[in-house]
Amino acid sequence: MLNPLLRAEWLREGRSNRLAVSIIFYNAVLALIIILFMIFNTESFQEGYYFDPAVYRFQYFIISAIQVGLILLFIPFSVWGIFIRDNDGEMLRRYRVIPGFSRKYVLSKIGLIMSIALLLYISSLPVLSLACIYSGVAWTEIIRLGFMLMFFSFWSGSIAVYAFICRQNGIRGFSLDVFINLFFFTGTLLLSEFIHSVAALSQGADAVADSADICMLLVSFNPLVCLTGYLANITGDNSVINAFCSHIGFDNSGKMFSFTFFKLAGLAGILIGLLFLYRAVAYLDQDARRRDALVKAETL
Amino acid sequence: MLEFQNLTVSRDNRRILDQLNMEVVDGSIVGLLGPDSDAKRMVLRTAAAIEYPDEGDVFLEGDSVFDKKAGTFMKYGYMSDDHVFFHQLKLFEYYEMCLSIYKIRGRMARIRIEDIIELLDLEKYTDLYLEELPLEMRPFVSLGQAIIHEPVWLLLDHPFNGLDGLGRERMKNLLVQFHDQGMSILLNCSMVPEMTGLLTDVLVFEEGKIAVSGPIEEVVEQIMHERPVRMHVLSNMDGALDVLKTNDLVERVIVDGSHVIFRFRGDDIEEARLLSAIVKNGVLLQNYTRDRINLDDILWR
Repeated sequence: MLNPLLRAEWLREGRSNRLAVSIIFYNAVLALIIILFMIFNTESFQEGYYFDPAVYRFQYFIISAIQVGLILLFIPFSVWGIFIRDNDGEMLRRYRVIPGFSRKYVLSKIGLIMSIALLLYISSLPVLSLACIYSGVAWTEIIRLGFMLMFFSFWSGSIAVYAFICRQNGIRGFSLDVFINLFFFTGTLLLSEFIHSVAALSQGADAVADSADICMLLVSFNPLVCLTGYLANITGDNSVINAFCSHIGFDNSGKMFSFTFFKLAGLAGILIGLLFLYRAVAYLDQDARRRDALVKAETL
Repeated sequence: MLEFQNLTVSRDNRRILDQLNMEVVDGSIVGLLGPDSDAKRMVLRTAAAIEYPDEGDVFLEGDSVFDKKAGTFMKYGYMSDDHVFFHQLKLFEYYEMCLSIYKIRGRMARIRIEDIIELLDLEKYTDLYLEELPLEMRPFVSLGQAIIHEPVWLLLDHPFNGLDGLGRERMKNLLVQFHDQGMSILLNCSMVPEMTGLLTDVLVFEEGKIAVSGPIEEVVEQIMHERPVRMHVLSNMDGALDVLKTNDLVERVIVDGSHVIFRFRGDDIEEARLLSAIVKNGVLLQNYTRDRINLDDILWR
């Protein structure tokens, strides 16, 4: 195997109770949603097996959104558990002098995180298929949801790996992880709103038009944009992005917008993930004399 | 040769190593002894490039151990005292991972692991997870991880910890075997009886510096020779003190009732002359002896 650490990580994770509990909990939540939908729409079954797909379309919408939400919620805690166990710190200090070890270490962590996310997705396929059948959604949406989950697990996992590597303390790593996630989820929106408001107040219509481009660029770094595009594709309702664009004065009526904007957001998310992984490797590789000196300075 | 140049390490606002300069020649088994356990541990950890010094450097066969490109990491193996493992791996998997980190894979890795398991007598434990290993086997697993890539230097931090008498004997025999195969060994240990037949040289640390160093026989003789002398004087105490005060090799004279205690820095002949001078001065001695000391009290930590 090219990365010996990834195999060791997978063996360690597979032999712990945490993975099994995660799969059970994950699928239990999804199954509960299906059951609740059936309970609250029993009248649909009164005339044979007739049911209203339009109602169930939102079931798939909710299940997809919850899956992404669970991944985003699950990953910081999962990565915290991965980093604090079992003498990782000592192993890292012992082998960091070997060239290439830092890269393998970081890649093993993100590889494990994405493998767990893939396993959760695969385990949820029966539930997803059922929701797909009831809602009348095309089966290709399941494939797209898989890609969406991999995207979010890569994005969130990269940030979490960076945060826990840069902060030796688990609490601080978790805090940094949450902070960075909040920055991208809400900070980009708040910042674009701030830019739009300043432009509108200070310089009039021309400035608003220019600031709309900047705002859209900022928002493209928000990973929820990809989710919005995916969910809009299921429901056929693009009102969220339409409302935002009209608020900041951006013309999104062109066909190219739908094609490029969400793709751009996806690409931005992948690049951000790669950037955080690169920074994590760089942090491990930087002159450890300086790092140990910083640790000494912090304790003085 | 393993060379420490002007090595200074501070942690938590405390100087652990202070301008350490020392050379450890190839082919030796050097014991780090003395009361300063932090300094001894830090010597090994800086030599293994685990801790970075504030000043100075460590050179192994002319290359800095902190220089990744020099590849010195292949030349030494480090064994920690807390036996760091991945507890949910089995023995073979753990060794396989360690070898892969050193880019040794495939059939060669498998053969090497089987040799190590056989050498360390770990065949019975290959099906167990590392967390299930008996405590007395963990030092040997840790030793296996240190030697798995066939280094020429071994840096061992308390290799005898957690072992009973038979285990210590087995560990000692293994270290002697590695030494006979050409490995040089630097180990942090307590002065237990097995050490006298194992070590070729010792370095005694106190307060971040080397207090005593050299071949173990010379160090022990030096320590034994520095034991205080105790005389029981029956009469003419003043005469005895006069002789002692005029001798340059006598220091720290203490009178305790009818006993006189002092340190003598000379050799056996000079000591005999001192004793003769005291007796010639009319001093009546009932007893002249060296205080008993426990060698472990000096070297044990």
